[in-house]
Amino acid sequence: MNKKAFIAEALVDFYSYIAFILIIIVFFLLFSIQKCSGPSEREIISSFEENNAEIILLNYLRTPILVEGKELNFAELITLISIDKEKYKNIFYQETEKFFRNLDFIKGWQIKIIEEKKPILHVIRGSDCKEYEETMPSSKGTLKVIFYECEKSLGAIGPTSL
Amino acid sequence: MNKKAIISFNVMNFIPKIIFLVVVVLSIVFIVKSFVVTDIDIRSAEAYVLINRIIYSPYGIAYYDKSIDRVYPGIIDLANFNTQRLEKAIVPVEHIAAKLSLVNQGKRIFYNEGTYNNLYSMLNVEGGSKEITNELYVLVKDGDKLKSDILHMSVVVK
Repeated sequence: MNKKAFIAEALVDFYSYIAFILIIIVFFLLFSIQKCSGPSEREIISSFEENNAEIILLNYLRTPILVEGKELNFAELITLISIDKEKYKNIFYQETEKFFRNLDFIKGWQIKIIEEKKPILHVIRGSDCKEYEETMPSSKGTLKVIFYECEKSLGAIGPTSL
Repeated sequence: MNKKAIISFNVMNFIPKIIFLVVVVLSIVFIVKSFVVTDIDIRSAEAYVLINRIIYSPYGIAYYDKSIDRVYPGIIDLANFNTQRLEKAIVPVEHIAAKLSLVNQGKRIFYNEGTYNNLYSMLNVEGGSKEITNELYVLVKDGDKLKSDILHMSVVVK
């Protein structure tokens, strides 16, 4: 091999190393972008959490409580609130507070009652919430009870009445 | 240089190129392997499927009204809260087991008790089992009475 050919071959080798390093960098960037664009691990937990929250709301409405010496449940108390809010709202606040105080696995919560698209009560004890609702009949049409399961607790800051 | 010497020289010349090719192939294999997810852990999903079967099945622990063919998933019939009924409803398998406790009632039942104890002892072992816990506010139907309670569920999966 003459000297010129030897230099040319060494030059080709040098460029091939550079090309190889570039390919590695491009591969690395491509895979990194792919990794960032979508989660490689997908969780199938959220739907189960929703089921739990829906059961909590249903059971909240079914939970028996004592109202003026009579055993009612929260659903019946809410119906009474739609008839006479001033008379029953304090019992509702107390019993709802008591109910959620026992559920220490719930970080924060809110309960909102809407009658015919108009909010009549809203108790706020949490923020960053997901909402779940139930509808039931009332004397004026329909009552919507919305339970918010929250990520953050706001503590006992007093009931919010509308 | 004679012909034999030229051939030997060319072969010698190819050795660094072959080493370079091996490095390239190994690098590609390494990069692809490090970014492709091959471990799929479905133990949590399996545990939640079992929990849902226990809660929603008419043959499980939930209160079931035969006359209207309706299951009340959040209401537990105390008469149904026993291991025999649970294991009859869901045929026990080797890799999953559960312990259910009613906190206020102080009652505890197992699904696959032997397996539960075995898998529970392997919780902190590498390649061992995994525990998934869940708490749910439930109403317990004791005769005609409804009582508030917390259902604590501990599921262990291999």
